[in-house]
Amino acid sequence: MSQQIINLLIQGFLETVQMTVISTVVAVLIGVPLGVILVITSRGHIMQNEGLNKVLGAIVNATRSIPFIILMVAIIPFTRLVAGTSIGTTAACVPLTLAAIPFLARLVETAIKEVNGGVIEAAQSMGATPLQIIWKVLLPEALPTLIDNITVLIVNLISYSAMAGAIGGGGLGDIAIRYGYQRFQGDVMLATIIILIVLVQVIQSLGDYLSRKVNKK
Amino acid sequence: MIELKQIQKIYEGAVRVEALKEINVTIQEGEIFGVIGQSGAGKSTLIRCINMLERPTSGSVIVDGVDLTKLNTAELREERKHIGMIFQHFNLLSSRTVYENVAFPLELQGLSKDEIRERILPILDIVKLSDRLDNYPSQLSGGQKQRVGIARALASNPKVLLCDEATSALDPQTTKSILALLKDINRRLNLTIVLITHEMNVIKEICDRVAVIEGGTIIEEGPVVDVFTEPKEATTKEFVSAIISHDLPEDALAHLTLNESWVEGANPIVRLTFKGNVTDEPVVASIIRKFDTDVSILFGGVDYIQDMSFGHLIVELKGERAKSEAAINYLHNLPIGSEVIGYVTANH
Repeated sequence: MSQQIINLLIQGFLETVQMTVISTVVAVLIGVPLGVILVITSRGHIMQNEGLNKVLGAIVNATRSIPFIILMVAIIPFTRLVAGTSIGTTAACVPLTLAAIPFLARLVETAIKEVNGGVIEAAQSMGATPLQIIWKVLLPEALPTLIDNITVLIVNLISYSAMAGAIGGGGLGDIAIRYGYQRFQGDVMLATIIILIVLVQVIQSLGDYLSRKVNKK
Repeated sequence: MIELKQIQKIYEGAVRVEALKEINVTIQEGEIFGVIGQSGAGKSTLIRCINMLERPTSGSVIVDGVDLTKLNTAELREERKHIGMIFQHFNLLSSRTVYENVAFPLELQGLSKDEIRERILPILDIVKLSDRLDNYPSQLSGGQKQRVGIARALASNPKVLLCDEATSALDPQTTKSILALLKDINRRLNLTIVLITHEMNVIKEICDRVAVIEGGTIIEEGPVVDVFTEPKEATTKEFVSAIISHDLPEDALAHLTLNESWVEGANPIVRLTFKGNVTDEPVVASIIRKFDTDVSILFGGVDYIQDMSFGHLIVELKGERAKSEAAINYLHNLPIGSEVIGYVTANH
């Protein structure tokens, strides 16, 4: 493998990491609160609001039902508005984040729902405000599961970011398609696959480790 | 300290459920008040009405002079800080250590780390957990978890402690030690305790007064000793019989036929009950001596309800009818309970 290809792979790797990191951070910042809101506004919970719950649920479902490759193309005008362009790594972060938010929100919803209702009741009996219940009960109690969820999200984003390569997003996926597939360079294809496998393994192991470490159950 | 007036709780839904109907209860400061009932009787709803985790459909809940039903959410949160609660399944935060769990209610109130430490270390001492501060709940036994629950409830210096089936998930020995702890706290801090349970044993161990709840209504209420010695309602008798047997065991009647009336040749069966040391009179010996009547003891026993002894004896009077009648008359005049429960003839 020539030095040029190696440099290409390094650049692709960095682009993949960049896309994954940016979209993960934004997705966590929006998806976690959204997941929490989906739980606490549900019937019988600490801030019941069935109207809001239904609307948010419908938006999340709608976004999740669009296949990523179609979502990516469909929101090109929006991507241009946010990133200034529809091509390149930064631009690819827009659809990636947009797909990641509802995905994570649903995972977070499940994790928060699993928090024992008795613990919430106990906090209420001590006069905790809804915000205190969220910060001091729901999130800490669900933390091990939330870490698992974010790990799943990152792994998914790595694979989605490869798809983003197909429409000029850069990254390892882009290299695999252009060199490995279109130019029949099998060694490049193999190299991207190995890098992706190793990357996913490392992230999964790190996620598992962190989740185990905070789990006191 | 606590006054429940005309409490009603109705769950509207596909099926309308009247969980509580017209509950009126007054609980004095410093007493341990027990509510006993089968599952579904409404006791859980009742105790949750006291701190408004369940808002009664109508009626008022007055705790230390404040009508909780009239407060807005923020005022209610403030009042709840004076009402501690412990739970059947402990409801501890699994992500926090023993120390952090007990600190939790004070953290909610915005106390500083030093203030919290100063407040909770003595409490952890009372519940004997000073050596487990850094353990997580998953590393504790059921009894220890409930001690953490109690410490957490006491941390904010409550006036009232609500115990929701606090010992139902514990083994008998642990139950005893938790009950002893509750009694100790009650005496030491003059803390008013309300507990709900389905175990008469719990009532017998520590309660001053008891209310029996059935179908959302309180069917019987009074000092524990009275309810135990003279249960009036069928459900109460059932609860009491789980601990104290008032009736003649079937075996004792194996060779006898029980009649409702004093038929020819039958002997009366009398149940004698006494609370504490009410009489120095040697009752049985007196009957034998004074009335020339043989007394056959069929069944008996002495139970302790807290510090009060409570004995009962079922005897058969064997003698001439006139003498037995005189003996029964004599018994009625003693300061003990006596009741003729039937007349037996020997079946050959």
